[in-house]
Amino acid sequence: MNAAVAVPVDVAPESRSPGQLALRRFRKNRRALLCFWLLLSVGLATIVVPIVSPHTFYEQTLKRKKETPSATYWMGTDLNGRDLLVRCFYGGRISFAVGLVATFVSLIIGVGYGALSGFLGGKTDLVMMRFVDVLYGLPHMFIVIIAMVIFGKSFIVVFMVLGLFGWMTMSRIVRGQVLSLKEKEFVEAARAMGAGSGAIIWRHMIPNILGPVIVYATLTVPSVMLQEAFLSFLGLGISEPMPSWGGLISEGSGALNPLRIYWWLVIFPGSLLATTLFCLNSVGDGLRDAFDVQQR
Amino acid sequence: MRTFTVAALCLVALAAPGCDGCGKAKGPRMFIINNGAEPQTLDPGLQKGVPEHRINICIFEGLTVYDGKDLSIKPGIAEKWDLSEDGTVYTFHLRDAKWSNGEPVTAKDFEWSWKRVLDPALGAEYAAQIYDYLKNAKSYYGGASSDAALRSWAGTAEDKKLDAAQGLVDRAQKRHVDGLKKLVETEVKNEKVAALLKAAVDEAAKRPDVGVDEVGVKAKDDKTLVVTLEASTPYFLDLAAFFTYFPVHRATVEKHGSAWTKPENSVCNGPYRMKEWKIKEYILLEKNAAYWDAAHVNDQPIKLLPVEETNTAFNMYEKKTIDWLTDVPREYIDELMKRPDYHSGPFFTVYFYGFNCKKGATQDKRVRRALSLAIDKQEIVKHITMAGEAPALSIVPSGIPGYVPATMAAFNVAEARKLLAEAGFPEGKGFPKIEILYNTQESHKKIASAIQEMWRTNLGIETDLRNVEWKIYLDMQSKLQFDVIRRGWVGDYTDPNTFIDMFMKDNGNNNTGWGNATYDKLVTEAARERDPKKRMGILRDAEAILLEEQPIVPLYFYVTKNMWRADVTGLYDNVRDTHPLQGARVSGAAP
Amino acid sequence: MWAFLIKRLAGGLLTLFVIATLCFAIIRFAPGSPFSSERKIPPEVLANIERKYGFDKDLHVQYGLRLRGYLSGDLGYSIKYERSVNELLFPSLRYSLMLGAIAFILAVTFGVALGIIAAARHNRIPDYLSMSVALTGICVPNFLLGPLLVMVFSLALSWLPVAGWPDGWSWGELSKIILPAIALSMVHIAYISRLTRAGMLDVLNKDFIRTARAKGLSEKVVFLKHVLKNGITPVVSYAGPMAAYILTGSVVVERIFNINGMGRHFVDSSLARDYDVVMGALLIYSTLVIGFNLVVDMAYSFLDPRVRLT
Repeated sequence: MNAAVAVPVDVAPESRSPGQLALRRFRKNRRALLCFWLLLSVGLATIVVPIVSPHTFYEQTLKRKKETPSATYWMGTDLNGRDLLVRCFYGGRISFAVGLVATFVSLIIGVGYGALSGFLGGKTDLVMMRFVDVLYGLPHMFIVIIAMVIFGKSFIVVFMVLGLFGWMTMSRIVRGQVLSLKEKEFVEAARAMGAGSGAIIWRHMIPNILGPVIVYATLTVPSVMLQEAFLSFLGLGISEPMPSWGGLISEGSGALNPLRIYWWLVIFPGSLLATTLFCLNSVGDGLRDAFDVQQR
Repeated sequence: MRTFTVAALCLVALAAPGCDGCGKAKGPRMFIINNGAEPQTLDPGLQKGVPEHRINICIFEGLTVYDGKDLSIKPGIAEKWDLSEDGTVYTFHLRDAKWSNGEPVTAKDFEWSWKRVLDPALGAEYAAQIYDYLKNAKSYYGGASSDAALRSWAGTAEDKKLDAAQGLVDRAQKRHVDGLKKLVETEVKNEKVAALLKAAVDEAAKRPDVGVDEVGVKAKDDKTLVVTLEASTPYFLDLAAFFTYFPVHRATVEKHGSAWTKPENSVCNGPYRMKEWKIKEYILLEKNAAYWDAAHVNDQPIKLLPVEETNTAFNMYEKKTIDWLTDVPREYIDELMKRPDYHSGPFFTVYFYGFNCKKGATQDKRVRRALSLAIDKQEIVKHITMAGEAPALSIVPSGIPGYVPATMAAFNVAEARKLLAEAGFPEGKGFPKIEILYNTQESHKKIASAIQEMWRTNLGIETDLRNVEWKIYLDMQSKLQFDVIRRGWVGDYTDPNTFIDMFMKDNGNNNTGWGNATYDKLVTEAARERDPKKRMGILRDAEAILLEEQPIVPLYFYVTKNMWRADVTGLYDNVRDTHPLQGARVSGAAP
Repeated sequence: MWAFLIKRLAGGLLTLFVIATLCFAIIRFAPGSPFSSERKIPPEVLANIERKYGFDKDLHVQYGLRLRGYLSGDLGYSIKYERSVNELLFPSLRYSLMLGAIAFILAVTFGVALGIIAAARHNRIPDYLSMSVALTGICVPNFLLGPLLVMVFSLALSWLPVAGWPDGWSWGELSKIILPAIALSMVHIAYISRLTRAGMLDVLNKDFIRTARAKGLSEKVVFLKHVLKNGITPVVSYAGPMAAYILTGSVVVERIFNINGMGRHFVDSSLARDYDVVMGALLIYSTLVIGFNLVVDMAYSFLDPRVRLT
């Protein structure tokens, strides 16, 4: 008589952290996912190809210079008879290294500065942000050029110089997030429970700002890689005599002439650079959509 | 939207290309040359480089000139000259020549112009070109510099005072004693400086004053210039054709100051005069009707372009918007060499590597010789430079009449290995990693990489490559902050001395830390030797010492790389790559 | 409004002062000297040369003199070219400004147009196409695009000239500007189209649009008058930084196409340690960017009356 229909009343919905939700959304974005795997493969190739290849990036076979792609030299040879394939992927190492490290530097500085400024609030916040505004006014690429010309090209200079200019927008975003989070109830609750400022920042705020930070970091990497390539193109990059994508494009571009068009010297490194930037941007876009962050 | 379009159109109108007579007929056919860079200054007293030289030999003329075909010295403004018995006094007899404004060129112009270069206020970099040779010029320059140093002492930076004081110790003269004594009092706080100044007082008292009238150049009258040299200098006539010795028009320089080289102010005495100078765009020269030999100068205006990128210049040459290319892109030079419009010949310049003889493994002569013998110079000129350069077995290029260069041993791997083993590094084991320093340029990089490979394969040693930007490179070179360094040297005058005297122990251009007493003795002896044959012999002996000790290893001699088509006449290859243009022209209508 | 202007100008001057000081410090404390050359200069000659250019004075005295010079509009003296910096830089500034202005106009025109098309045909083929073009534009930097354009259009097809700046009104001359302008503006066309699209899509959902449509206005009017005017604000915000990026980008584009703009002067004089020219160029660039940002912010307030100038 009583059709006991079991109605589950006490099962709470499975809780998911914002991170996990974002991950799910990201996985659904086909383009972003594709780009992610492509990115990973390129990255892996920059590590693997130079190890596996029979050619080295510095070995010159002067009799076989400026050759079009062939079975021995899959991407052809450059002006010195060096294998372009290995040089392209070896150059990728530099680009990825600079991109990741410089972004990491600006991440540390930006998150620290922005969180501090937002958390402290009031006059301190105002002064700190004013400082950032003044820095914004500096024509940063020109100062980088001067610094590279004058201080010579070492990895340290490049990392510092590129990292030092990338943290500003990061700090602004973080500060904005912290400001809005500060007012939320869970912070008040945490304070009521007696948690100190440090604990609040670390356990409550940072997980919540992680989203936009990850998004912005992912979008900073291509920007830094681009700047490094820009510098290498001008001959101010760190890598001489090691290859880098900007430097390879510059070599290729310098050799263009109406007699023989050495297209492979420009197209191969150029495609690698463009593809990597494309993938990084797509992944960044995907992450942004996934975290549902609005870019202002 | 509309305002936007109007604004945009205004901007585009502002962008209006600098139209000088566009749309109308372009005028007579011009001879268009790519000069390779924007000239830094066209003041012959301040001039430094080749692009400036190309223009200045067109608009100015010195006592002597080079012949464009065989580089012999020919009379310029000086019609003829006499040389005294002991070879130290030249008497130049000037011809009737005029400045572009109609005034006559007099011996006084030369006297004033040379003394102007010796004026510290001008800041002429090549002042030594005059004071190393003219009698009393060096002491005059030292005295005048001391005058200037004392005058501006109050404004001198603290950290520069030490150097300034040292300069006064070395050069101050009797008249400076009082001024120096006063300075000692004011600088009493600064111990080191005060000590030097005290020493300067003593030194200065010993040196007689040398006034500008004692400098060895005097205009006896309007058409006679008497030049007294410090010592007999066999190549002085060569030097007299050098830009530092060009005359400038006194009234113009005094009236306009540093703006005197501008076309509207410029007064010159050469076959051409400057018509227009648009910075970084072009320079236009036209025939100077007042030139003494104007009858033999063709009417064709000359246009010089400052295009730096060889690629771009080449593309313009192919489109016939450039008639004479003074440098070609290295990237495809092997293809260009096969063309009939490519003109090349030996060039009076040597490419070499210098070793640090003061520190590191390269202090050992055997190590240096080993490194040198392990370089296959043929390989380098054949596959890297590829423009037909000759591998260098001496430091002095061939082509100097009367001089046969000494030679060093050629590529010999076995001998190299033996020497390296003798020096204590058999098979390269234990050899410290050394570094090749070069200034950032693709060609230097390629050569350094190739040599790095050669040393690795032939000797079993590892080398690093380091490239730095030009100014830093110069800094490091003078401070000897290198193990191996890439260098080049252009001869200033057609005599072996220009390559040899730089390696004397105290010469500022030595930059290797090497010194050899016998070598120095020979070079000084040669400077005094009057018999040309004997002199060449002495210089050769000196060169032989240099090549045996190997503080440097010459790699190859440059070649000139010019391109001009068959419709250009009057240009000739020569070893100094200097091309007087009065006989040159391009025929045919404008493209 | 005036208070705003004064505040901004004061801030701008402060920034310029910081830039000048920073630049002076970097270039003077760094290795290398403007006077070194392949031939060793004898010490007495070097001393005279330094005295001529005022380098014998204390560093802070030189700094003071330089600043005083700026106040009277004198940008200094070029050691390399023996001319005043004003004489050297202002003609080349003309070229950079012209190229930059053309690139700017191209970027705004085509960027907005593409963005409008994409927003109007949202989620249909024109949208996907425009956005793919945009993304590619962002990923092919100007120093890569330039050589590619030259390879295809100048060398292979011979449709357009290889390099140079127009010197006359013929097609052959005027066409010289096409490739450099495209190379310089492409990335900004891309960004602007994305921003326009996003901005317009944002606005399309708002209530007042539905009201406008309900009022019976044609789609075209709705789009161009209401949606565009409001959706374009992100583009205006981008205009400021874009001007700065265009100036930076001109450094490589001028090199690739052999244009005598200020970008080349800047790099060359840094390499030659021609201090006054470097500082002069840097300050000119900074002034341009600061001035432009000021104009943009004022334009912002015209477009969106809700924004008050503070």
